[in-house]
Amino acid sequence: MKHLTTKSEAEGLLLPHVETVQRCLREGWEEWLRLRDRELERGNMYSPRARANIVYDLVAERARAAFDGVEGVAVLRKHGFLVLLFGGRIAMRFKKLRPDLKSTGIRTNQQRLFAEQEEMPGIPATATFLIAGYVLDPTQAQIDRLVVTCSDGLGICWVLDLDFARGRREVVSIGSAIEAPAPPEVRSARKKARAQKEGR
Amino acid sequence: MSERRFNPRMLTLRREALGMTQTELAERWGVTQAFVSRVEADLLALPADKLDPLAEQLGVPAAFFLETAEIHGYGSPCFYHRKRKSIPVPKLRSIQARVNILRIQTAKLLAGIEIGSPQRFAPMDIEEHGSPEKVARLVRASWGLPMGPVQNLVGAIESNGGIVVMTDFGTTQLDAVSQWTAGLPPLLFANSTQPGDRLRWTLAHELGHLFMHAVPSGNQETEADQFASEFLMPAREIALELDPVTLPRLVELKARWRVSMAALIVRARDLKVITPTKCTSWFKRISQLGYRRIEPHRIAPEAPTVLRDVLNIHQTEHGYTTEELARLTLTLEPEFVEQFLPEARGGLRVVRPS
Repeated sequence: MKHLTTKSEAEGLLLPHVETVQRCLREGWEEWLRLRDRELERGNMYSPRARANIVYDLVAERARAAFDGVEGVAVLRKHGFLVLLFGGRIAMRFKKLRPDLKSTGIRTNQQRLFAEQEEMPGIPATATFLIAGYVLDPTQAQIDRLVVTCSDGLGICWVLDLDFARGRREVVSIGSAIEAPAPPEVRSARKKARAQKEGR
Repeated sequence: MSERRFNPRMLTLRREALGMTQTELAERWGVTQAFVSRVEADLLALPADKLDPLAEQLGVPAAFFLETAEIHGYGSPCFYHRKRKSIPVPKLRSIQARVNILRIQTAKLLAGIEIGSPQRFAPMDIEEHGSPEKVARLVRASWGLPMGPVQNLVGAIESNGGIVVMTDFGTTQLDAVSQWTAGLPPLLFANSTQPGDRLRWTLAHELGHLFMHAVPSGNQETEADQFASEFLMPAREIALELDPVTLPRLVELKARWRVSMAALIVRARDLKVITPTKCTSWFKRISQLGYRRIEPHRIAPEAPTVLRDVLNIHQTEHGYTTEELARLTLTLEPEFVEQFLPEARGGLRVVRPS
């Protein structure tokens, strides 16, 4: 089995990129909220699975754009998902995580290989596979935690908190503020009376 | 200024609005409590030299005490409020006085103004129509509201002849007071400190009173809630969306229908989507999560426009200064700005040299 990057090694490697990773996750999620609000106004609601897919696409697209051309980072599309390769030693993908930091959804063979640090064609064999994930609060409408996790075949080995959200959670607004369709016209009665008096 | 024209009821009104006892006023005014009591009871004419000190102590222009408008109280057919049980009586009395003053001020601001909205408030008899829910459906229809959520309730009220006045009651124990008096549009005074979803429920509840309770009834609070529930969440449309009730779904429905998660849970129970036992366990769960105190995912409050536009016309077309508008509304400038031009309040800052 390959040597896994330790938490402190990962912190060093990821330090220049942590803010960008956070931003991609946060902006992808915020874009989803805007999309959701527009759809809710039309009476459309999405399943958790559809939501996770949309958020993934929104985050991955932002990551592709953000890391394109960044020195020391390669952006790969392998096995149906986007992989960020940091210094050839860390291969990171994005995922929604449960509160216990395990992946959600149906476990595909690709996911199993990634989670168990097995060799995956197109990704350097020495790279440690990490997940940059978001954990939602119980209402599933707000991010509770942003983390990077490293797992092997037995479970999660270490967790790195990308913790901009935790500790300063706030009550966020949902739904756009909706303007009155046609506010009543308010006018001066004096002006009208004066105009009538002057024969206008 | 003539002593004859002094209106002792305005003295009581202002004193109560400030939450002041007769004894406290007497101390400030330099008279005895018995003197205050007799003046308020109209048993003693106010000596001319006492008027200005009184106005100064109570923070109003002397003209305030010459006002002759009617004063309405709780229980009268034109005065309704939505409160929580624990509000103390003195606080309730203070808010009643403040709302009467606000109504008098609003009436003065509306003089010389025309509002283009049709008047579509008309009392409806519950017995004639069958139930508060049926009245709610009739009001929605008469207002031409489309199916689905009421997107902007404040806008709907003002587009159909009502006026919403936001004010800070100084307590979270009272949400709104409504008044419908002769010569004025229906007025809904809402506590500006409540979250957007609660504000909508409160206003819908007050609408229920205005439409259904021309004569007060013993069951009026329940009926107003039934009206609000159907008005904001029509049974035929929301029942399917409520099934199944899950926490994420409650949040999405909150965003769509712009009502609280708690209101949605109760609605699910009332429409038999969930059992009363399940409803109780839902409340336990959201309580454990801390959502009973502060619900997550705030709904942006809706802002009324009529009074704002009225003030704008007075300032731009009628040429009133803020000081003149304060005088018109029988108040002093800082209090006028606080209530009617809160956005102007932030513009006045002391700039210190660095």
